[in-house]
Amino acid sequence: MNAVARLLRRLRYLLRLRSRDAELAEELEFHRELKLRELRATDTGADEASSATRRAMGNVTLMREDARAVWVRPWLESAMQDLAYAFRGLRRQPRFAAAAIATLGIAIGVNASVFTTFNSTFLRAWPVADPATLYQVSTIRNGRERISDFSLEEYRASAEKLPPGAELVAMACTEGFYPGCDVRLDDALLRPAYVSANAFHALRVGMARGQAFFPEQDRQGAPDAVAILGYALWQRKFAGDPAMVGRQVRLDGIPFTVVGVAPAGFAGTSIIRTDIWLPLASLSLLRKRDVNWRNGGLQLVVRGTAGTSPQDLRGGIESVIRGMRTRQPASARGAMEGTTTVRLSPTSLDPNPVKRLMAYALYGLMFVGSGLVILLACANLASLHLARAAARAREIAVRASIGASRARIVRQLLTEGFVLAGAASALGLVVAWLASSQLLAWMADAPLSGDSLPDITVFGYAVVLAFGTCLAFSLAPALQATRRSMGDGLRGRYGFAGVNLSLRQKFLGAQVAVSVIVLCGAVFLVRGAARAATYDFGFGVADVSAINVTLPATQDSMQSQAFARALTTAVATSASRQFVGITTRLPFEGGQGHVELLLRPGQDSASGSYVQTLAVSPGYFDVLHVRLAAGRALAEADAGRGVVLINEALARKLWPGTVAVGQAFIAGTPREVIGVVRDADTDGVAPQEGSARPMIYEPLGEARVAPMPSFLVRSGAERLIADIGEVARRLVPEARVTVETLSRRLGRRQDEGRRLALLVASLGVTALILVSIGVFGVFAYVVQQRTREIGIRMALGARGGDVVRVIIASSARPMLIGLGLGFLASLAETRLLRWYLWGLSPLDPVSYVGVVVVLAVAALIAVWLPARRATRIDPVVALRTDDG
Amino acid sequence: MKSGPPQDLLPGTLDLLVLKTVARGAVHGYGIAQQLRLLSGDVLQVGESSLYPALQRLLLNGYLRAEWGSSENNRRARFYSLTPAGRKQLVSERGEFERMVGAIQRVLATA
Repeated sequence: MNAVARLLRRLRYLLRLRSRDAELAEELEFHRELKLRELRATDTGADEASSATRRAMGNVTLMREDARAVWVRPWLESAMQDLAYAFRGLRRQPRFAAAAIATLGIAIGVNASVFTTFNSTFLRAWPVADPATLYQVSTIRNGRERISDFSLEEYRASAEKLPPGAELVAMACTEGFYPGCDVRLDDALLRPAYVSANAFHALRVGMARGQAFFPEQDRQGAPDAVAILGYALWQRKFAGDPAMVGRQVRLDGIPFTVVGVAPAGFAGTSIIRTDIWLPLASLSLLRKRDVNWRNGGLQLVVRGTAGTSPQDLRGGIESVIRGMRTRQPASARGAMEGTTTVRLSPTSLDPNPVKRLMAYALYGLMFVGSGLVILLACANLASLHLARAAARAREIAVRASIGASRARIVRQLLTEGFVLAGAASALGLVVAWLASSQLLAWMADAPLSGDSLPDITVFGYAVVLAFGTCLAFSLAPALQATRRSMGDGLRGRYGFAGVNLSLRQKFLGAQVAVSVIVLCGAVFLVRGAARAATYDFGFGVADVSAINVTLPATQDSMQSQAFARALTTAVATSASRQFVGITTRLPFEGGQGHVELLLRPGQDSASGSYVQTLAVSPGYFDVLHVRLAAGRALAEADAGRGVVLINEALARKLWPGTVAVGQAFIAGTPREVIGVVRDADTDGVAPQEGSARPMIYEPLGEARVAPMPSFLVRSGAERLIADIGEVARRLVPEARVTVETLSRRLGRRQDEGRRLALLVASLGVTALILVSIGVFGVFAYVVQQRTREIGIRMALGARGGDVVRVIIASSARPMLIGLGLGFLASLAETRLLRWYLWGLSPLDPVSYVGVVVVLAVAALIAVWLPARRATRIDPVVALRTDDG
Repeated sequence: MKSGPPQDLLPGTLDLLVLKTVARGAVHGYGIAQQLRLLSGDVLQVGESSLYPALQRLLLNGYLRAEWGSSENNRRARFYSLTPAGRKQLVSERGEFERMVGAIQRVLATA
């Protein structure tokens, strides 16, 4: 209370500093006059009285400063002086200031944008009331952390055991990544979230319109067809119709009643926007045969109360889950290997531990890339600072000689740096403000659940960045500038070669190294992305269309089995069957397909290995242009005879050096190898895993459960596609047929690499520009500092070429060292980027030569301009210059 | 009359003395120094170099309030007066001082 009042008084004083100063002076003058009169009145003469007064009063200025120091601390006052001085200095060189702030600001802006998106994705809690008592529940089993690992049964049992007041929420499909989660509203594909009825209550999210779900609307087996619209969907699709609640919308053709509209500030619990919320149980109303939560797939969130500790909540859930997972008959899910540990963590928009690792790597790359660009900008500024400090050597020497301590001068130079860095950070924050939502949307490639804007964390980050960059570019120059002896500075000359260039040259070397690293990253990523487009997966990607068939949910599993079998048979026996590849898993599906435990004769089951097994028609290999390497191809009559094709990867693994055809093994049932096909990397994993996965191809119709067939045809076979659709609809009129080219399926998978390449390439261009400016600055400085020397050389008969050689030789060594170090670091870097290189060797010579050429051209231009000026120096003028 | 060398005050007592002086009515800086000297029979000589910082400190703490007025000879002067907080501070500092002096005297009396 008292401290606040004092602070206010102090501030009021500061605001009126000048008039308060005048008042104090007047007060002291008044005091002096009275004192003088007093002394005069006693005994002495006029002259003596006034000098006696002065003696008695002592140093009035000092007294005034002492009195003022009560209000304004001396350090604060000198800091304000430094600031004012720094601002004046920058205003005198507006172009320097603008250029410095712009380059550094943009570099900081890029970095801060990356941090902002990182912050809003991983560090920020869900946009709900009181997020501190809300926890994401995950499991750790066999060393792996999983969310979405809970079954419906586990959810219900855990919810019952919670302490009073606490609530457990189950959600599914919240990330919107699972195929089969999405629903169609008219022609638009929506991202739904399936939630338990208590979700909105537990999250403390009120409705903008209508009401949240009631428990009786989420009864398994007898669900209500109800939905809560997302605010954005309500606005976009229904123009914010206030009478929307109570109306019906058709999701996948099934009518759902809208019971509420979520508020504008809540668009789901992942980065990607949730369009619509549905009760968990309503899954059975929709066509989601391949999604159920009997074996997991639910994500749990627990809302604690003020009284319960997270430890109690955790312990309760863990004991239930462990109990269910070890007692075999008690759970539909069965016993599980490994003990399950339950973990509660704060909510974040991207809680998926698996994806988090990949995302951390991606963000790490962007952080390092933009951090390196900041370093480049800092090195340029440090270099410029050094040049300025050298130009101001005389001023600094004068200040030192009249008593300024070195620390004081260093502090002043640092303040100038800080003003620049502070302004740049402010600019960077503005850039982050404008750009980070775009960056995140671009990376997520989907509408976002909320804006990604800088918050207090980002602000703190920017402040740290500002201080860091300030130290990075002004501490060393400031120390060096003040090291010079006073005498030299005052004389204003340092001799011919006495200029200490070493620090600038170190900066130059570091800059070259950093830009090599960034440029190498950019060149490799761009070349990798270009290769991805023409990458040879061992089968024909171009000109192949994939046809997917799905059934509405009205069909139960018996009916859909019958449909799958009938459709497969119909297409497999049609006249055009050799132009159609029938398969149970389309190329580039992602994840792992159906696997079988493969055992060689006599091998026990502990040492077997799991191998992906695909049921295909004979036409599959023709459509995809996969050639036979040995043995014979599949024939239509092979179904049910236990014969299979394997790929070369599996043949190499099982029978290295011997003939695989004719060998036998067990995969579910006894199998005989009749042929070996070339490796077709239909999962698209070879660039990352080194080679295609081992595969078993079995004839269609072997599996006990008939999987839904998908079809592959050569593009242009429109007639064929229409025929397949017709066949499907003849069997079940509501069947939905979707067609997509394989190139498009592949493109979706390669998008991330392409985005990354673009981002790093733009960083690379920035780095190139910055390093060119750096090289130019250093050489321009060399020419300026050595004008006299060059003049003398030319007066003694040196020609232009000789001068240029001298100039280049002055800084060639640090540049070469920087080049070498940069390439060494790049060797490690490209190894890390392997994931995005699509088989491009991390040692690819073309890319490295390309980087050298690009850098050399940039350096030549940057050196040429100052060198040309050097050759035009007029010896007479040069020798007259005073400051050379 | 020539004054002897100024006496060192006990630490912390200057604020108390200034408060006490000002408590008798609004007075300017010179007046405070005068009164302190007169009232102490020339024993306490407060130098300007400690008086003015002390006044600023008391202003900062809100114990004093300063207003411009005109002096006896019609010159503009800054008059200090006590705020309610200052009056409270005077009482408490005085109590503290007396406790201190009493304690010192008791120690001295035992010798």
